[in-house]
Amino acid sequence: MSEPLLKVENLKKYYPIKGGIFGKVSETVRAVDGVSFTVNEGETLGIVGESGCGKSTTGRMIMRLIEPTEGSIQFEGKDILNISKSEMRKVRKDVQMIFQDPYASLNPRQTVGSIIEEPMIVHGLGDRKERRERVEELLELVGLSAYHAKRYPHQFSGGQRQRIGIARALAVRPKLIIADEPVSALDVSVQSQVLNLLQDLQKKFNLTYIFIAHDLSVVRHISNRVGVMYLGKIVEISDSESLYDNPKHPYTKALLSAVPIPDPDKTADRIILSGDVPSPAHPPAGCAFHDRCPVAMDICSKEKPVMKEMEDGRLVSCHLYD
Amino acid sequence: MSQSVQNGAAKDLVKEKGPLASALTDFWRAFRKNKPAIVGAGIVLFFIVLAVFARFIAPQGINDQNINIRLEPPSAQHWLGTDDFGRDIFSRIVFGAQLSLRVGFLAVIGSIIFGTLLGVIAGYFGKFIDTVISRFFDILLAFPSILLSIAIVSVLGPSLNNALVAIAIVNVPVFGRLVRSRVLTVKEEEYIVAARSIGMGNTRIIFNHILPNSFAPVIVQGTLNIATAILDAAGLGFLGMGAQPPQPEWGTMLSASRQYITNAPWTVLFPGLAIVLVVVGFNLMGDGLRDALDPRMKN
Amino acid sequence: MLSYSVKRLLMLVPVLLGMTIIVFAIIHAIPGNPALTILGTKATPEAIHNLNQSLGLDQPLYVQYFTYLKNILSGHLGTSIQDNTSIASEIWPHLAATIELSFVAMVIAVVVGINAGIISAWKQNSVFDYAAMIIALIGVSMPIFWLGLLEQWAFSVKLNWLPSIGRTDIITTVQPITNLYLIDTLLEGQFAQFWMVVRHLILPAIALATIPTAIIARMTRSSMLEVLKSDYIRTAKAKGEHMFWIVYKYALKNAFIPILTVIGLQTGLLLGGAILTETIFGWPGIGLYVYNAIQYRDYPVIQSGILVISFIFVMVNFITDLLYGLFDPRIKYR
Repeated sequence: MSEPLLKVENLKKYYPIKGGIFGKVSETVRAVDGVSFTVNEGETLGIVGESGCGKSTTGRMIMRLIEPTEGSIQFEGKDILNISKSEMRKVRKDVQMIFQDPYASLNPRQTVGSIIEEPMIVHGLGDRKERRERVEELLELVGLSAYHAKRYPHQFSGGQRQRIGIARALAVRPKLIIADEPVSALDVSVQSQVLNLLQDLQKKFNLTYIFIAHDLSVVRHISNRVGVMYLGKIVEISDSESLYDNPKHPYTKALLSAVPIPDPDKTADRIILSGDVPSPAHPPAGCAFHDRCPVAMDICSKEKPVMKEMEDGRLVSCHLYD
Repeated sequence: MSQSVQNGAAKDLVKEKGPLASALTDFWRAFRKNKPAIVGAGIVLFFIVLAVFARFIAPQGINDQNINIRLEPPSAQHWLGTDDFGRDIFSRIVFGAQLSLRVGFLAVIGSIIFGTLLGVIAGYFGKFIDTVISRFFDILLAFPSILLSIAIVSVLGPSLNNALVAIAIVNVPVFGRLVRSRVLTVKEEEYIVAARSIGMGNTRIIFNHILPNSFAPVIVQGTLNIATAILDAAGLGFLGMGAQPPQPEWGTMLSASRQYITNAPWTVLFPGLAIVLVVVGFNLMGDGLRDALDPRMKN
Repeated sequence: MLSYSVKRLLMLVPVLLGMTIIVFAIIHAIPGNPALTILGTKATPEAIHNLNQSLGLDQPLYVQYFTYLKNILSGHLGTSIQDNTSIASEIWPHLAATIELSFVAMVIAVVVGINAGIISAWKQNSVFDYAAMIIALIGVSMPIFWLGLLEQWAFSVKLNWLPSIGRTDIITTVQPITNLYLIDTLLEGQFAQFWMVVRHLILPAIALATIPTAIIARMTRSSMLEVLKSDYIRTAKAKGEHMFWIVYKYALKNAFIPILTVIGLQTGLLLGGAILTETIFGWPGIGLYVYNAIQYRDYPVIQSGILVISFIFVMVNFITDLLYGLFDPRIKYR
């Protein structure tokens, strides 16, 4: 196997909470607490978890929109946390992002054309005429029309806006796209259209995706591999087929059982998790999931489980498989 | 995929009209419904016309004196009467519109430029520089505005231009705070995060993304502030700290005429009425702009 | 509440210090030689030298500032260049005159403004509402010095109802006790004098009250309109409470926070507006004191006058802030 496109190791983001008159750090929120994974060129890695599990923070750290507290991020073998500004600019061109809210992520005062053109200006690609042509090309590519370039975002529907966001991300011909819940703000009927578009584009341009979602059913079709996050940690990561067919971690099982099954004759055994997600400022001792885990053992409240490789190459972090 | 259907829907939304035109139309529609605002805009326009075409409108020059017709009441010859030098009051008021509008617009533009600059720096970069700038605003705002203008003029020396500078300085924190709070809000918008993810630098983010989205309230406040700037300039003129005689600034005219109020009340009445009218115009227009711009232009 | 007050008070310190720096800077920002500017071009070198020395202008800047600050903190506001009197001892009678005038103006503004605003909101879109709002619009757009001149012309010159200049008749002297003449005359039992003082107050107080009245009326109307739409007002109506009580008891209580903010701000601005009103009505307040000082380039008086007025402005806003808690139990002080 060749070198992975992206390699994330032991990534952490801690937020200190300051309290009192003197701004003493009274506690720390562990938004992301030691996340490691790799992404190979041309594949899609899905990252799934409930809101607040740190999946978006992870995505934003890879974009360096948020500075990690600890850990390393290697893109094409380069540690992007320790490179010069000019090198980082090049990386910024290769890694683009698609945002969750297509209403909020487009500047309401810019025309669609100028939104899509701007990344090219920032990275000094092409002259004015070339850029305009590329904008029109991109609009057609994402299923809009060239004449849409002169309009403003508010004149489009949610799905169309997300297409504009996708066109903006594609403008500088990136290698890796981080899609942060790109369809969760859209109507269900539009979701599959956008997902299909993303898949088409991936084939066409050999793109690599990190696809962040809170819902396992959305990631299923688009992902080659899926990582499941809980309270700032990845609890299980494997190729999507085996993950969906045979989940190992109790949390993955619970998440999967919540996915509605389209067949009315099949009855699913729903695993209802008790309690709420604990605060990341006070994660439970031992395994962070133990207080909600239906199969928790004594050891779970005492020792943190470590990531173990199963016989089929899957990675699970659970004492069940010690 | 049903792209053609979606495109068709988008086409219905705007009938082949330019985007800017459509945005302006929306705004104009909201503004037009507001009758007081239209009246205000009409008054403002009236004074702008007076100021621009003063040379053609005014029957006499600014300083055409005629001792034989001192303090004459309004007549067909002198619509608003004459003052103690026998000058035509109507003509002086017409030329005065130039001075008052100039002070109003320039002072407010000055405060907007510096206020926006400081507000953006404070709001965007935050931390220490924010604390320094915000404290500076607090301190300036701790003075009653007319007093601070007086203090500044007492340093610079009395003249219309110095009054203009003083009024501009005094209003800097008004716009500074406004812009700062807008920037703090806009900064958190996802399209700013998106801009940063593209690799955009601070300058471009500020000028292309943050400022255009922070400006609506500044325009509203600016219009209302022209009103107060004109009032303050007249007040300073009245106190002898603004325009100096024989300049036909309305406040200065009032100050020069007040001793004749018993015999020639028109010398005091009309310059004051001019101030009230133009200030009412800007206030009405500002209120109307607020109503038209504030409830988010469009979704 | 107490810790909030203390915290808020501590936050005033940098603002007040900044104010002293700006006021201190007034004399130093004068282009060229300040002493020359003050004394005029005919001044002898000796006079300039003496003035430089008495103002401390020959010392390094930071020494001058700290001396200045020390003096202010110990209550020394400097010496008038014009007549060599101590400003600190001169300023109180002037300040008292301004406070008396501002207080009466504020009472007028609050009583008239709140009631006009309430009735406008209660009878929304009635003739009264329209009339009140048009008057309020003109009120905020009016140069108060012009209004003052018109008042003098109408009520003193034409109708001869009220005096137009000063706090008292020329022939009468009020025995100063507090220097607030309304109180002093009553303490002395001089009811005729009290009435005379009242008559002198009416015109300037009305002129000074115009802008705050208009602003308070507008603010009251809009915040009352909001409250009158709320569910609990509808409930009170459904219960058959008389509208008068609904408006004055329930609604006003909840509409009062924004009104209070405006009252606080306007009280401060009133002090600034006093300089124009006092100039017109010959009211011997601190505004007139500063105005006369400007005519004589008496910079120490200008500095101290501005400092004292601004200090009061800051304190009024501070007190308004603390008052919120009394009217809005939802605001918790941390």
